[in-house]
Amino acid sequence: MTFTYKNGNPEGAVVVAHDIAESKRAEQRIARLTKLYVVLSRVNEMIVRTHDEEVLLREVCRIVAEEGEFPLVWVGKVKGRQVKPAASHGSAADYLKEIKVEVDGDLGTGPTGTCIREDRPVINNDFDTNPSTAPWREQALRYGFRASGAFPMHRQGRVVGALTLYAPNPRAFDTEQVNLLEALCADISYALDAMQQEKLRTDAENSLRQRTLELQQLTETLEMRVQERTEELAAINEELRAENEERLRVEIELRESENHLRQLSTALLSAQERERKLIAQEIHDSMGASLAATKFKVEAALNDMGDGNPHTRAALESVIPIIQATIEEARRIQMSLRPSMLDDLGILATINWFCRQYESIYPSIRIKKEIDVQEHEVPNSLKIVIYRVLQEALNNIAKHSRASVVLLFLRKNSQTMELIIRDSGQGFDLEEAFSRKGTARGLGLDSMRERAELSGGSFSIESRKGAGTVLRATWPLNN
Amino acid sequence: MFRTMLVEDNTIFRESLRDSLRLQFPAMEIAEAANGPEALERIDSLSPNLIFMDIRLPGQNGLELTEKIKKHYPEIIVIILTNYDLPEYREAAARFKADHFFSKDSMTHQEVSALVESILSEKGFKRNGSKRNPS
Repeated sequence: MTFTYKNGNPEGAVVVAHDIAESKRAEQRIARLTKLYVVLSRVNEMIVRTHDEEVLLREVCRIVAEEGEFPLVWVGKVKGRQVKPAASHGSAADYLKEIKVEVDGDLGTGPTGTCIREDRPVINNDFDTNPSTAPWREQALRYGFRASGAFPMHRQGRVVGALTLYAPNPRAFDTEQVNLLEALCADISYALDAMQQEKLRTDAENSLRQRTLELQQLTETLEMRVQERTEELAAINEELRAENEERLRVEIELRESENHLRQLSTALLSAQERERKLIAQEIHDSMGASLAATKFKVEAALNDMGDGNPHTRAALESVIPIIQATIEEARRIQMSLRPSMLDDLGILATINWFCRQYESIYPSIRIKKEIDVQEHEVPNSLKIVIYRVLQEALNNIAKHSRASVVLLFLRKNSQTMELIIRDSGQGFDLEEAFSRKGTARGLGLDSMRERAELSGGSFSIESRKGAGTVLRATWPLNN
Repeated sequence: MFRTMLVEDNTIFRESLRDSLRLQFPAMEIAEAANGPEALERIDSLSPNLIFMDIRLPGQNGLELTEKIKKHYPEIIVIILTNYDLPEYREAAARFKADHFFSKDSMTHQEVSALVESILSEKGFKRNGSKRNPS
């Protein structure tokens, strides 16, 4: 302790008093620093425990306010121009409801705005005298604040807000406190970054999990759809197969039925021919021959009689023309049923006979024959078919064609036998002929075709109105 | 002795022809056959001078039978009998080497007699069917 005098007045007491105040201030400073260390330590513990930003900020405010004995601590975040409280704690927390802080302009001159704008800790030593805190002076003093400090909070190196605290005494923050609080904010910023990183990672993981799940669901859905589609396709396939089988079955049935019909037609035609032949033969063998014998006997009797009873003679003589007429009638029936000539002499003689007879019935029609086959070259089974086709064709010509000339070809080559009947008549519309109903249909063309086809041949017809008609029946020859 | 064979399956006609011939030519020997095989079988033993041949026979066509007979016995006279007096039948008869042709329903007693008589005289037989100059 030194005593100094100036102009005889002692000054030393002042020095002593100063010393006491100094040591007391040092004690207070140490106590505050100790408290802040505790704050720092508690905050760091909490950082390790907490993974939620909101909780972290709230707890930071609480710890700093309670342990540091500050009447208000808050964390503000930049939202546009404004700095909005994200968390706060302290007995004077209502202060925040009364003030506004911005990052620039008139409401950006305080420690919080400046700290955020300039990215550095800003200390306001006294609301009462600091002109930069004039906008909040009245409220601050009313809440008992004298000093305040703002510390920047970062996210990935960028300022996003500030931790602001208030003290009841002016000049409450010294350099060491500022350093400690700055370190606290750095820790919190780091924690927030880590948290965000963690959140991003978790989000990414969740997103990945979600995506994986979605993908899995999608895959499952897809698989399900594929399976459904496969099942559908299988069902359709099965339907098609069944349909196809059914169609095949119907086709086979149809073919069988056609075959059956063909067999029936063949059987019918040959039965008809057989019957006709039989009846014709019966007429020939019994009736015809008996009638001939009767006539012959009557004539013999007349011969024997000489000039006997003229009445008896006249009676017998009158019988002869009757018998003759009956014979001719029987022969006509027989020939129209089936010309016995076909069996006696063959197809060539029969064609000859038929044409001659035809020309005598229809004198306006001439038939020019070009027969280029030998009798033995025509298969027996074809003879009646050729005759019937010719008969039908010539009857048609007489009935419908108004032809004056008919060309008739019967010829063969090594593979086929061909019958062609060409007329010079008026022809007809094939479609019209085939579209007619009932007996008029096709002018007997169907029956010719049927006979030709049932005997293994083919049948064709060409006709145009005004241009005559050509019928062609062709049979394969299997030598 | 002049020998005649009737080849005809219709009994009534065959018999009436036979009776008529017997009446006209009592010395003539007449044999009958109702079908082709029977006719062929009897030809050898009978050696007929004349055959009346129906075209339509059971089993074999009279024309073909005629051709066969004429091939082995060209001296036998064959008269074809048929129900049909048609050019085709006449031509066929000629083609198969038959000598004469009769339509059953138009032939008359006189025609048959006249033809048989001309054949008899041509072959050196008397009207009744016996040989004119037996040698």
